[in-house]
Amino acid sequence: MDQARESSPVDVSTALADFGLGSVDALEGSALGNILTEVYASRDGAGAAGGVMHSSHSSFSQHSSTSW
Amino acid sequence: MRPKIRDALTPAAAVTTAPMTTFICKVASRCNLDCDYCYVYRHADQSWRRQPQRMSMRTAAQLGRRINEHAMTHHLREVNVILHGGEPLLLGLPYLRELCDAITEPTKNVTIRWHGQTNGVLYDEATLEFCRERNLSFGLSIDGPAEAHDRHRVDHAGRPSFAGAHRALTLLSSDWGRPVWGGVLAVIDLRHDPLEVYRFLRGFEPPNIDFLLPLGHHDLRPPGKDSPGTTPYADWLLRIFREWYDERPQPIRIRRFRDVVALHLGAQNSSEEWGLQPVDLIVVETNGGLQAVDTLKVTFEGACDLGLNVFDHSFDDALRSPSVRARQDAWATLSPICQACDLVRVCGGGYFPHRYSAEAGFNNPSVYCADLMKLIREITTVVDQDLARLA
Repeated sequence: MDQARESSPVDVSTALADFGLGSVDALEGSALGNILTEVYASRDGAGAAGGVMHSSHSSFSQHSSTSW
Repeated sequence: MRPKIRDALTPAAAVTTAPMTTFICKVASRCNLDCDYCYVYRHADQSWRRQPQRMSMRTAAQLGRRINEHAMTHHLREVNVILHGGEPLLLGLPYLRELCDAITEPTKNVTIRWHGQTNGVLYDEATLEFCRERNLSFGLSIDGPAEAHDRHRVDHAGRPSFAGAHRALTLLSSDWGRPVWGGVLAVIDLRHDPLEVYRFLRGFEPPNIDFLLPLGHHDLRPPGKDSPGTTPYADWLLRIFREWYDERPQPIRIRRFRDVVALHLGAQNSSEEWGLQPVDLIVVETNGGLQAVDTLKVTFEGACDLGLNVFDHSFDDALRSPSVRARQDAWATLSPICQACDLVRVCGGGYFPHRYSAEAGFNNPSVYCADLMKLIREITTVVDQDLARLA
């Protein structure tokens, strides 16, 4: 079990297709598109957080390159 | 006698615990700033006075051994270590380097991902070089432009600290600094225009921003929350949300908004402040003592104390502590009002310290409940409308 694995990026099209949604161009680069992409990527992640590292209230546990 | 957290909580039934993956290390117990809202120095718990000023190499080495032990027990390949304080950069780079080595040396079986949180005053070019060398990512505490920042964040002589924070912001947002920049933490002050604060920070394009609700609870009402039913913090945040949500491309992750949307869609929270997932982080004090949630210092003296330390106890011992188990079995800690609420899957009952009252312990909805409800409802309505259009 790899508790600390972070999600790897996938494109928004793939993410939204998996959600059963249609055209995705409208969300490319948007905040919602970014979140959906991250949500999709984290769904198959192992560990209690589903691949998403929990951050404390008063700090970050992410490097900038893995923010989205 | 005030209730201990372990007494104030409903005893958790046997729960499946998640291992700790994030270790918040209080490497310095003192700070070069004296911010008026600080949960470490300016609230009920004053235990910092009894802590050594810095974590010793002996404690750091023992911490490393405990992290390695925990990683081996739970088959963790990576963990996060967060250098926290106080102000961690007060240690000076030579000491900090030695301390990181002392933690790392016994951790042969796990990779440490290094992070830290700084007020920026001591973050200079040499610090940035050190961070790049160690792949150590720092978050910066800055509340906005000078007027907003210096209203609260001053040194012990009352002098403003914006110039130092701004210098750090400039370094971290440079091409050289960006790979080791975690983001920005900004505490909300309702007197400041939210868009002015957001646009100032946005100008530096931080990878993450979290706008923090001031730490308070039912006996220590947050500024501007004289009545529980009012929603000034939701109103403040929603002005930012509307602008942020419509911007494109959007390179900035606002943690609070991200978590609301993600949890609404059935995914996971990224911060301990939201959702009902087990909390997988623990705080290690400068003397090696263990704490479940350091921000509980705003509630009462000793609220954080688990009575455990890295010399005599493993992190698995901490997992068996009633206080930690309660944080892992989030549902059991909820008030009946929260358990019956349709938004609890998102808000998780609110951040733990925000629920406290001397009368009922933590068996309350958050003091920010009305704000959280409004924030969640408005954000999820916008998201649902967008998704409906695409479906």
